[in-house]
Amino acid sequence: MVNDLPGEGSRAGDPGLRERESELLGRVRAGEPEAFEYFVRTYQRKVFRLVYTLVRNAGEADALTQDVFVKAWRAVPEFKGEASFETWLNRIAVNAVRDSARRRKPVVAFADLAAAEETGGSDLPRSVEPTDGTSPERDAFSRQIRRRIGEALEALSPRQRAVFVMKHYEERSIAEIGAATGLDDGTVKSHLFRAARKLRQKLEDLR
Amino acid sequence: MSGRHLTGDEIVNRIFPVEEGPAPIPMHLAVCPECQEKVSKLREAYLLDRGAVAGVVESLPGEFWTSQRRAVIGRISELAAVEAEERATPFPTRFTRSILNRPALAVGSLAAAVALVAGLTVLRSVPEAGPPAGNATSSTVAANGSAGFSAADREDDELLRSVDTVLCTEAPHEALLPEALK
Repeated sequence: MVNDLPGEGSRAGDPGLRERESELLGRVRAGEPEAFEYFVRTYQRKVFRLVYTLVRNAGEADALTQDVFVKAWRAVPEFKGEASFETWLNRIAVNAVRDSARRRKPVVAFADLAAAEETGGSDLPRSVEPTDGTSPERDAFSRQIRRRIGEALEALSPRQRAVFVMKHYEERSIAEIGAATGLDDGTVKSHLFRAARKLRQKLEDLR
Repeated sequence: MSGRHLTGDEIVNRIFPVEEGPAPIPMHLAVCPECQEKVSKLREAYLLDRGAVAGVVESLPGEFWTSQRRAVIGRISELAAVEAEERATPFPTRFTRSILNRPALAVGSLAAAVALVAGLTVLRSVPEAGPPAGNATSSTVAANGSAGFSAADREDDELLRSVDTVLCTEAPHEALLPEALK
């Protein structure tokens, strides 16, 4: 355990953050794996959230998040510090999700998950089911819309989905998305445009 | 009514703008309830979905994060221990252990080695094509015939035949002895 480390409250804008992280990375490189716990504690929620938004399955997102941190630990010697650690981690996460999608179909497709949700069999906590509480009809409509958006996102290519989710769910800037995906600004915008267009086609009858 | 209805792309761009920063609101949207309804439905769907995703993450209990962290640190510590052991183990032992830990690799390597040795053995046992140099006799030279031979080759043949004849009729050292010693 590393008790003298900054915790979850750390923010990317903190001016001393890079220095502290750089010092900790030095300890990790020097063969002190415990020093890596700081990075897991600080970024696990963000990584999980990004991965979950992309795969829409809590179990798969958990497994992938763990893989992301293990891969990051292995790659620490190659981390040059040109981008922030968080951006670098996001890149590993996006690649991990893409590779996982290539290797196999998702364990549970979003459509199946949504169907399970309706019968109470979802692995998502029921307490977070968003409703506006106005009427059962309205709630049913909300669920239907969410399922359709999930299906529409699933129809995007892994790269388009990653770019779209980072922009509209994670509120990342074009530059951050570019750094996390290795794409230039123009390509990011092109992916965003195409993803939005595909989404519109999929959601045509909702409008 | 001000202008035409918004196109599908325009509606999507209201909710999912490609560019950063606020986009200008079309005049028509401000006055058309039909277009407003379309935009608001899509916005609602998107915000509901985004809220649901955020809700899942927020609602996960502290134990989930602790357990995830422990799992990651556990895996990393195991890997670090293996790497440290590998660094500390001398090469032959490490190699032997590595082979023993990968039986498929060991069997594959052995099979490849056997195939290589067998191949070399077979190649060596096959006689070389044509007579070995220096053992050419007049009969083999003659057997080759003249087909395909150039004039120079024929002259060589003549020479070899003469040498052959000399070697057959008298011992070579006798040719070198002075006449008095014969």
